[in-house]
Amino acid sequence: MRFRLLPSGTMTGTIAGTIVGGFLLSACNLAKDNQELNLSSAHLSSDALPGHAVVRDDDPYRALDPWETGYDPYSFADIKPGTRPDIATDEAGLWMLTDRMTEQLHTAGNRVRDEELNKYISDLVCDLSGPYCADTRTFIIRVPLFNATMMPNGTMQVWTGLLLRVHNEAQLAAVLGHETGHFIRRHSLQRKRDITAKTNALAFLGIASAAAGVPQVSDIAGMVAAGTIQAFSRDHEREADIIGLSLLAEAGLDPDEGAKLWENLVRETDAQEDRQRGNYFLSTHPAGEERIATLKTLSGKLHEKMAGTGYDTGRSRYLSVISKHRGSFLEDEVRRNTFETTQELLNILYEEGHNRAEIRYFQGEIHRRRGEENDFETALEHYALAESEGTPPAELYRARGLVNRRLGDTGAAVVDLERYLSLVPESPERALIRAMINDMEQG
Amino acid sequence: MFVRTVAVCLLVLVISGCTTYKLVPAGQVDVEGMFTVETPVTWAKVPPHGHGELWTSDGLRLQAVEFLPGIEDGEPLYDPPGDDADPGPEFSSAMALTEIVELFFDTLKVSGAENVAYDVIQPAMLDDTAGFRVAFRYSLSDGLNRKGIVVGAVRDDRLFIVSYTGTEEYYFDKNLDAFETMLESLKFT
Repeated sequence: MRFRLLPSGTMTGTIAGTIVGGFLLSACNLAKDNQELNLSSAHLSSDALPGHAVVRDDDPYRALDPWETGYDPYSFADIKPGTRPDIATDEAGLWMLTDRMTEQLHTAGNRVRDEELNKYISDLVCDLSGPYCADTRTFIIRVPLFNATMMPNGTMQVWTGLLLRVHNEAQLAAVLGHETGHFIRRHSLQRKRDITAKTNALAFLGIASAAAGVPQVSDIAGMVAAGTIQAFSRDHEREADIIGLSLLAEAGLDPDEGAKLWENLVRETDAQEDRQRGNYFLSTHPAGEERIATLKTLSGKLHEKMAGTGYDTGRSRYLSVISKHRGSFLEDEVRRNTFETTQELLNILYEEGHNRAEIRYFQGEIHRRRGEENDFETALEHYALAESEGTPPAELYRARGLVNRRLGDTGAAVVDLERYLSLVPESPERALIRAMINDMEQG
Repeated sequence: MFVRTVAVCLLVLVISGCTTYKLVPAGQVDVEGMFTVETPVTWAKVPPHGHGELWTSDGLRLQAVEFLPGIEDGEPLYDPPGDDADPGPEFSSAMALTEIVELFFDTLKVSGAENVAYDVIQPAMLDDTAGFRVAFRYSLSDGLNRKGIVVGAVRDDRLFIVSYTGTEEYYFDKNLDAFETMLESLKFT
């Protein structure tokens, strides 16, 4: 089961995602306006609530906002830290529903419970969200796809496929900050009211919602189930990106990494002919290239405003936590049986440079598991490179032994399998492998 | 196999109003014309969906016996319903037993099982054919813990798998003896 149906504010859209492409670069003035950019945490305090529609001179986001839409039909203020919506409101209904879903997450079978990893992610969310730290909680879910979601009640999910694809803390923070932006700005509620207004209008005009292509929204649960609440508008996504990069920069992390992450995601997806199947995330964000350009513009402005500030990518900190998990995340990825995109992901990770021997091993594995013409030979090439570029996982010798056996080189197979058993004497396969070795030696 | 349990469970619930479970009485039972087993207890055979046979006593979510007989080269162990769904990894008659175990657990994981762990894999016989046997554990996505035993062998270039799974509490143990009796009695025809 994959947590695709959980209602949330999501950077990735939803199953029924209706996100309208990326951002359109305005023909209007992209130069910075005259407002000083206030990137201190004050703008997140309960005393300063920069509502998007409340056009204030001291709105810190204005300095980053090259577009002057001025349109926000709901005049939403930010959620106040430490508060819950009044029980009599529709917002409370959203919270109640997502509170129940949060309870289910606590006991989910695919929840990653590693304490160190959970603490690292939670601490990072806290650092980014400032006064909203106590209002959010984060669950790491074992799904080998790139995704992070935020529910209206402050519950964030991060999928392990995302942790595999970010290269450093800054890239991770770009996502976490973006999701925090959805929470602070109450985008789920905005979306819900927008849909309600539209369907009410349609009903009044006697046009059946279903016939008009709008999901039935007779109750909150139905809307959530239909995934419509998760489908944020272009404005919401832009706002979340602005907030995310601002929080990132305030935390001393390099805002350039946001665009780099997207570039890698687009590159991975472009490797797959069937783009819709290749990447769940990008299947709902077809205009990734436009978003990359926007993120670059935004990060450029942040660098201007914070000239002289040293930025950190947080690569070492991130790798120190994720390294011990990466092998199992890569196993999940290889198991997806999406050869082209996995191959490109492995190329990207190899270029990044961390533990190349491990990447070479998995490059061999995707060939071994596919087992088509010349795949076994190609796998052997990668295994050899893995040995030359570092200390590969012990599983390499098991894999190479199996490949050599398939290719008829029983001598090499025995050597590799014996090596594997010496490295992993407690392997649960030891009896079977020993029997296989005996069979090959007896010829 | 129980690997399908998560998906088949839901499918069966949806369509249960218009399909018929079949009683499997105690005694000798022919499985797809490929082998027979002696069962000391009655089972309900789930309406067929795809490969093999699925039996249960108290409901698929609680326990299940799965027979996957005669899987041929290039066939997956698990072929989910729907045109867009990816089938699981495929069997090859050139696979070593350790690769077949890998195939089984890979299929289990891609079908939605979480926290999969297994004990030492032992050589075992399925009737007169050398194969493997392994006990294992996993969780469903909602956190329900299950246990299982799987036995497999390759005979005449075709893969045969017999598995038994049940909830960690009570239901796995409930029919375990019956499953072991069936395994002992299995005879290829």
